[in-house]
Amino acid sequence: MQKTKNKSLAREVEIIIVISIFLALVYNVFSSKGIPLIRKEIKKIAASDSLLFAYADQVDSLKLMDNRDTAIPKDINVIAPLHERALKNPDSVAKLYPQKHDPVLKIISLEQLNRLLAQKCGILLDARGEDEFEKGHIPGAQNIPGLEPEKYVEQIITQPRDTLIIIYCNNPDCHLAQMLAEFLSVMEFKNLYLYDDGWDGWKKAQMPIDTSFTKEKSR
Amino acid sequence: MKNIFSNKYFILLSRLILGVVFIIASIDKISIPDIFALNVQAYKLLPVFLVNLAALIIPWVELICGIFLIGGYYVRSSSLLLSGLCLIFIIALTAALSRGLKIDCGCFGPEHNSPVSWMRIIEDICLLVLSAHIFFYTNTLAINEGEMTA
Repeated sequence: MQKTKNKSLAREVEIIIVISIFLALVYNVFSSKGIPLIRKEIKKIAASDSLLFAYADQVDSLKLMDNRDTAIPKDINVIAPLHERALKNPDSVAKLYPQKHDPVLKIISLEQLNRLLAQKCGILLDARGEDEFEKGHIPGAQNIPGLEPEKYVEQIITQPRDTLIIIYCNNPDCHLAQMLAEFLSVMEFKNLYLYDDGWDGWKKAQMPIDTSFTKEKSR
Repeated sequence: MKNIFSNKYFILLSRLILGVVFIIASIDKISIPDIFALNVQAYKLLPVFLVNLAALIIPWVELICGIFLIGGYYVRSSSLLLSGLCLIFIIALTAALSRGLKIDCGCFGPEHNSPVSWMRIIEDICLLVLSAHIFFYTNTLAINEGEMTA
């Protein structure tokens, strides 16, 4: 008696799972927001200086980098130097990933970020929530939370689509920056970079923190 | 005490609550699968190639079970499946918390901004209790009724 009961229970569970999988697949095929069944890992690649600072030739940029290093206290280790995590030779990336459709995030280092900020190049976006942004952010950053970017879209919608945009959130594990990057690439922004070490890396390097926050200013 | 739990209106109430909660939870996940997939990936429990499949199928299991619970079909198997899901969610949340991941829960879909916290685990434990209640007492009710009618 009990055995047949368990059998019919297992049968019912099977039926429910089969129906769910069937509906999920059918819906995914016909939905405009369908996603590929097998997810590809997003490759993080280091943005080369030549890519970021296209106008300066390589020698000058190296010199500039030396000067800029004084901005970061020497005795402090910036967590997990980006270029170790990313591919060693950024310029070979084009050969490795010839297809444009492969998901790729270009990441920049603290040095590169500092240099861009010093030159007032591009826009810096904080993808964390409004609360965290209020507590402190990188000076000059605007807040567009990765969870609800569409509510903040007016901050950025008028920008030319080739504007250089740098996105950060908490740390390399934080998915908010990735969500914002996907949103912006759907809006056809092409020049997107990720400051992967994010807020945690910025704080760890003891860089200046901006705690001023007014809604009027950020909007 | 047992009578209260096996009271059919009490079980009906549990079924309605659980069904409605899971149907609401599934709708956002189904409508924005790409963001929900990111939520799933952020937990770092699944290999990347399985993330999208999980993000596609889990919400539909929630929806179908929720509908069955309210409609009164396959009640025991639906509640069994939902208990399993709750258990998985509790494990995932605990793992995320203990590893200090600052991620979004994704519990009620990507539109609800709710960071992973102990509160989310307590919510899931409550849902687990509800589904366990339905699973165990629907059975005894059916047997009792069977005995009575026999």
